Amino acid sequence: MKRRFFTQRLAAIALSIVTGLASLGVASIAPAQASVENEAAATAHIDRMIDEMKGVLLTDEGDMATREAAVTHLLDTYFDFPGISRFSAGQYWRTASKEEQAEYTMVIRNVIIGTVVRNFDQLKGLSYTPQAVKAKGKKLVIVSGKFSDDTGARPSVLVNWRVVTRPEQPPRVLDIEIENISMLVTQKQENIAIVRKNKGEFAALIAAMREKLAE
Amino acid sequence: MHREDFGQTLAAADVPEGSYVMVPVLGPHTTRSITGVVVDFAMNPMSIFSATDTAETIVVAQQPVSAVSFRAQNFDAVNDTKYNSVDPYARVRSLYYQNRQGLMEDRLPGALGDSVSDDEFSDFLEDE
Repeated sequence: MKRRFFTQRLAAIALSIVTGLASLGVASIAPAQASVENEAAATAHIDRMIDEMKGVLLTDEGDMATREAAVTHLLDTYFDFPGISRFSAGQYWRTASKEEQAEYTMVIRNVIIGTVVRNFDQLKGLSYTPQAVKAKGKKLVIVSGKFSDDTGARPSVLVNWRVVTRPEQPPRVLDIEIENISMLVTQKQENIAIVRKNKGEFAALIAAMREKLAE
Repeated sequence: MHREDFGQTLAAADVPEGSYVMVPVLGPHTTRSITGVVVDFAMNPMSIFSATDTAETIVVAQQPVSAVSFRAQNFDAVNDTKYNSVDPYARVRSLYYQNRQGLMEDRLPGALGDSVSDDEFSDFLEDE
């Protein structure tokens, strides 16, 4: 009787250990699986964007209005402008009013679109080669690639795309890192410097950006 | 290839970064990195051969010439920063610090290793 009781207890302990290990295994496999899925989604997102960009470059005839419309569509589709706005405003995002936040989101979007439209010709004659991909945390994937000049006149440029993969939302590009320089961090630090110079007034940043856009 | 200089050696020895300064001809630096530039200049192997006037001129001219060469090679990028930025000074400072950080972490451009910027992005996404 005593022996049977002991055997049953031993079996129960063994079962709980196996169940515990199994649940641990499932718990560790689940994030890994999520990372793989996020990496695949982010890579596909960048591939689609590059394909669409190639199409825009092929049909571009130099008409600025057409170019601006195409670039706007491309960036609105593939970039996370709400995220870019919040990140680039730094700590001042929280102090800004709802109206200022909405206005800033619109202005920074126009600044980015304007920059791409102005430099669009530089993208002509470049080939893109995917290099690597790595998930960083639950919502961020870095997709790495290389732009090479078909003629070899310009040196190759290595680019890291920071892609946000929020649950149940399509991936979006949050940042571009070129040669170890993050475009969004640069924009954020510049913006913070402007707001600080103006004694913490967020409206001054919007005014300065508007002024630059009007030039 | 990783580019190393004495400024990075000082950083590895936990010497504080100091103030950010814009040095004529040499461009943006911190007091730590400019100290590194002075030591690198003094330790330049070319100095051994600077017994003659010509060799000395070459050694002295090396830094300004490389600065002018850099400006010429990055003409469009420098102009873009200068004319298309709301605050060019703040932008150049940010570019300088990020570049130095990459060099100190021995990050190769395009590498997928961890960087300071990653932490900033992770914090931002966690706050959502």
